[in-house]
Amino acid sequence: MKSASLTIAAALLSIAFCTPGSAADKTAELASRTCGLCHGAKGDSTSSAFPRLAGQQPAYVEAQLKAFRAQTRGDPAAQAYMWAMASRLDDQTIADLAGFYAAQKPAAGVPGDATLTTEGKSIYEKGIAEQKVLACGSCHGPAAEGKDAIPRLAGQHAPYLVKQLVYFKSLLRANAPIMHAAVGENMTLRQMEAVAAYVASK
Amino acid sequence: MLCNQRMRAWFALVAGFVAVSALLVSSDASAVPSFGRQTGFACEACHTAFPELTPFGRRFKLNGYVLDNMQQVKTITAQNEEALLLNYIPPLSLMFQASYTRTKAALPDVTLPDGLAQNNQVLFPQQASLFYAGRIAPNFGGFIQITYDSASGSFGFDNTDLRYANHMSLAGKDTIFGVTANNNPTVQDVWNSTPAWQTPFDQRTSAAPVPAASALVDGSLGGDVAGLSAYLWFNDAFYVELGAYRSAKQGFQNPQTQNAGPLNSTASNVIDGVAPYWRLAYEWDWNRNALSLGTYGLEARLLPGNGIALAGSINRFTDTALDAQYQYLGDDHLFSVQTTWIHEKQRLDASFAAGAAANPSDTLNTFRLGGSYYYRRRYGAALGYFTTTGSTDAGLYNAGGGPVTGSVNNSPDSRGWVAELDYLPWQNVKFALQYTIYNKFNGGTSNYDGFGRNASDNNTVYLLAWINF
Repeated sequence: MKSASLTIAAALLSIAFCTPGSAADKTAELASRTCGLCHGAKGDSTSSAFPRLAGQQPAYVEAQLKAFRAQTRGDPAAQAYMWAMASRLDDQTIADLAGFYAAQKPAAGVPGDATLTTEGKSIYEKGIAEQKVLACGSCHGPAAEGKDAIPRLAGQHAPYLVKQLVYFKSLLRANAPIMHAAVGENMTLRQMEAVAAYVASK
Repeated sequence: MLCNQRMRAWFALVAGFVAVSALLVSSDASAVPSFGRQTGFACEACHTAFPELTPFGRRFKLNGYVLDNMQQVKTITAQNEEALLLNYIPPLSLMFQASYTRTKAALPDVTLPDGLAQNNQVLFPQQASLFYAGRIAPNFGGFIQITYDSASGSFGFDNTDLRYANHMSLAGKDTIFGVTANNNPTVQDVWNSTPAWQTPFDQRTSAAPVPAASALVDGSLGGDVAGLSAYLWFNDAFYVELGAYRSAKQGFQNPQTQNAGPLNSTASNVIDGVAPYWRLAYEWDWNRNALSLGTYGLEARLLPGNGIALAGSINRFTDTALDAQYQYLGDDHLFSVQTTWIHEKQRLDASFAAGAAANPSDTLNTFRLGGSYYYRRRYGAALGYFTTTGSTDAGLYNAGGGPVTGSVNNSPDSRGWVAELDYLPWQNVKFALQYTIYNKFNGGTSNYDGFGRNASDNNTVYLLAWINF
């Protein structure tokens, strides 16, 4: 009886209508209730249409949100969704969101096609000299964890990564010139799929 | 979405609120650039091909239509509560539909027994609407549609849904709780497998005959009722809603007060008390897929009116329905399937006693299954099957309905197919070519009306231009 009434009391108390909180609370609420509608409540999106943000490099998230706000990143999904979402974010909120996602536990990698993954590992670690494609790991890190404004790729949705590489190649995404010149310009679609499969599995 | 601490004010608002009027609840149009203006999102964020909603679009609606990315007129109280949050630019938009309709056989001309009405009908507009759709106040938004209907030649209130929504934690899971006031059962629903927004059956011509019989929850009450319901969207997966509707007829004038009410015997089919409405649904989302299963229903006790005092014997309609929807939302390929089955039990005490129905009780079952495919959101195709079957009743369905609309076999049974090709040169413009085939119409296949018309004579070619801006 006692445990039942405690359970009921706990349940009633858990129906907590929102309370004003700290800046961290407000950031978590914004991230989970608004951004989370596409990116997942803690940044682990289920749909590969929307990139996972959990554990992402904060400097990269900040740079992208500012690029959406300034409309300097203009790939199709950026225009359809993110230009609007970032339009009214101030610098502090952007920094807070970047910090929130950096603190989230990144999702585990999802294994993909074995042949593609093997091929992708080779491209990631050594590049493709004859096509003038740099080794991705030389910037994105040996574990694809990223650094500073270079994004974490490990565990990211493979279809999302392929799309970004396609956009870098065609310059539909133009806010990272090095990605076009040193990587995207010369990669074939299959090579993009291979390297995406590899980092998605990490 | 910020915290709203004014719970008492919220309760007062809800308690005092009456849903707005409706006269025309015609073809649906939940896709509105109003939301695009308010949020800044392209149509594709919330829609596959309008009006069908993506998972994100469903969450936008469940959150009260409030998500915005535009400058606000705002103020706060001395206690730091939000007192006003108005979009600088009102989220207004317009819809314009023009159509061409051809039926396999021209309709008879009603005034000249041997004459034919004109076939190949053009309507310009078929329908045009003005929308306010978006946030009205913190946590409170609406979808308000005013429609010009070419048949009546006038404007009237169409689909209207005003709602409050906020978040709470229930057993540790984020939960949206909301209240909706609306004028058409299922207009408030977020899946396209319930009647008000059901794709791919949503677009019908205004210039061709349609089967006579339909269940009460299948659009018959739209515009004649006002309802209030409360809903929970638990853990981003489970939906439960409970509410009730009461008659609120547009275009009614009480002969004694000369005002819009009260309703009396000069009205017809007036709800006695309230008609409860319920809805349960569960959605699974994984990668690019969304699957939902649900049930919904309505129970209405209708006073026949129409010369009889609004008291005493009633006709009782009980609708119970199942629905399901599956969507695949790829980058280049979009595919979705919707289905619903509605079972209606009619206890016709009043109509039977008055001789208007041959049976004291009847049933009516409706089933629809349809699917659509879009390539790069530009080229699409849809196919649907529909069937209505029900009790034979010489009182309710008979040749006295006249040519085209009557039933010589005293049966509501109709069934057929709809096939459609769609072209969207831009996300807010749709051209559709639709072909509807009737295998059975108002209870018959050949000479269904007793005046020589066959079901297939109502086969319809329909070309629609639908633009939203």
